Amino acid sequence: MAKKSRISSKSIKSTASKKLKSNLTMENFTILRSMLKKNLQENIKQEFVQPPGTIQIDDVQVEEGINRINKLTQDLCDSIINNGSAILKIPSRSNKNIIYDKTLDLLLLGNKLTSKNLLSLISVIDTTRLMRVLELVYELLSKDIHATKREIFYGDVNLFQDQKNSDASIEDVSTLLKTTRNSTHIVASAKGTAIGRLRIKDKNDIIDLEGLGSGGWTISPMLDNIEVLESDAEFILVLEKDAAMIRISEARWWRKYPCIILTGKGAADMATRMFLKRINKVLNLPTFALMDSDPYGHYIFSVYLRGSKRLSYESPFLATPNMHLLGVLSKDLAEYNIPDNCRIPMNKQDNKRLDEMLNEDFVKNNRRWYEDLRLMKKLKVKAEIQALSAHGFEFLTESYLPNKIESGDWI
Amino acid sequence: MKIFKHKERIFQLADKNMIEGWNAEMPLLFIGYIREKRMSTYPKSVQKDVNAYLDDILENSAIPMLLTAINNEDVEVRKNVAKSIVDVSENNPSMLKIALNHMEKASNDKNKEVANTMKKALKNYQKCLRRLKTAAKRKELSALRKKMDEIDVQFADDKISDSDYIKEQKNYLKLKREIELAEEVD
Repeated sequence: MAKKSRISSKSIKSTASKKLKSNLTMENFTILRSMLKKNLQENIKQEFVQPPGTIQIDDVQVEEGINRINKLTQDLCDSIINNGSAILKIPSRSNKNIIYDKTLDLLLLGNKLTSKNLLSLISVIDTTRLMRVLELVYELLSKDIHATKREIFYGDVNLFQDQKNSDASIEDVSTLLKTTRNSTHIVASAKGTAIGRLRIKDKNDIIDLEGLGSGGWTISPMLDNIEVLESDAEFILVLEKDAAMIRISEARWWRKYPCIILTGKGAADMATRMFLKRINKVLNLPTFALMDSDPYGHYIFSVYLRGSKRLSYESPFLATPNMHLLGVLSKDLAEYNIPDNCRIPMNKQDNKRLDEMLNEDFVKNNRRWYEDLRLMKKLKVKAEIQALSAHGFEFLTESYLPNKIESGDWI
Repeated sequence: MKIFKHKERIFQLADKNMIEGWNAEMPLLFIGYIREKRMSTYPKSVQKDVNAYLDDILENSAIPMLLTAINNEDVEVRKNVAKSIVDVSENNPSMLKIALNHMEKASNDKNKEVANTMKKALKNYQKCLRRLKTAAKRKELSALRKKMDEIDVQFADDKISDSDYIKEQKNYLKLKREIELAEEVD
């Protein structure tokens, strides 16, 4: 843990390396506004073109999900009757089959397949588990209800034995049906929250994200029920941590700067990423992230940006490639005069993750990002978003964020 | 999304394509919500454009969608829309105002379940209307009570006659009784 600065906020402000502007309003955010104007003019609803050599995954409605299960089982039965073989061909989810597409700036699943033979003793347990999950998905879709991954595990504890096994089968079923996991109606408990200038509908309920108190709206994992109704926001701000969310929501920041704020409370779950993707795509708003200045913060940002390797098959529905890293950048430590005692030396694990990040193609492809990580490696220190409060509790909302946005200082 | 602009500000509302994919009763709820809760937050010039847009949705999407669902040959579709309307009538009854004529028609549906469900929704709506009226009367009563306090003082000081005092008191008690009766009915 970083030691709290004992120096008074006034004295630090006076020694800050960068001259900060005060009382900035939306009118001062000309770079942001021209970006928004461009987004709306272009209406970035470019059709997603599946790159060759990758698997196409769809986000489908209940009826189509049921049709796909019916077709799959029918094909399997036909194969058993016609040639006595019962083999399921599932897209491989191994690291070797994960492709980084430079044009789309996304991690996608390649088209290599693995075979699972229902008549083989080696794969009989895996395939039985997979067929059981398929059966449960069919039940969920037929009843138009949702279940958590945990509930699926308890659907047949003797068969699954460990939740790791049912989770793996759930992902296999999604890739087998070539649908998002959301389309199978299996959801993971969500932990993300959102607040700000947005009105949505959850089935027939209208939810105003400005009127839910300081806690905001807990992002629903049942995103197929959610749709955007209205918004007067001009940008989206994604926060790594709940602590920053508390600061911003207490300041009712979105009232002065019309925006939608969300946090995944650490590594973001699927629902949070999917919700961000949805509002970014529907509203065409410039989207920024505020993460800790450490390798893990940058990794969390990369997952929002390009998707995770484990769920690469869903990247087109989970990743937000036009998102920008607003802070806290390594260079901000000096520019915003973060006191030395708020900077934490990097440990072995940080260095390992930092090297991994520096080796990623998508990082090398983004010069400013690569250089900021290189600076972090050179400085050998990290800092949390909360380190900004060494300049006063309101420094984040009144100085740091407005100055960063006004100057267009993002990656 | 349908975009409305005012100087540098932007306001985005669900567009027709999105709306036409919703449940039959949802567009009415959406129109009611925007008019009731959001309209006053928009600048005047945007209000005018949004109103025109909502009128267009009401005429060309919301009412036709509701009519199609209410008149659908499949009784299950009619039952579903009736159930959804009851839900709305329980949570946001005031938003059903624009659908009232169609609900009254559907309360005579040949299917008993549809007709009864729709009657329930209408009853909820009427109840809501009564509550609104009672709330308005309560406000009136509270103002009258203040006035009565002054009259009480004037009466004690012999500044008004017995008959005038009784007349004022009668008016006050009459309104009070009306409110009590309305609340008993609910």
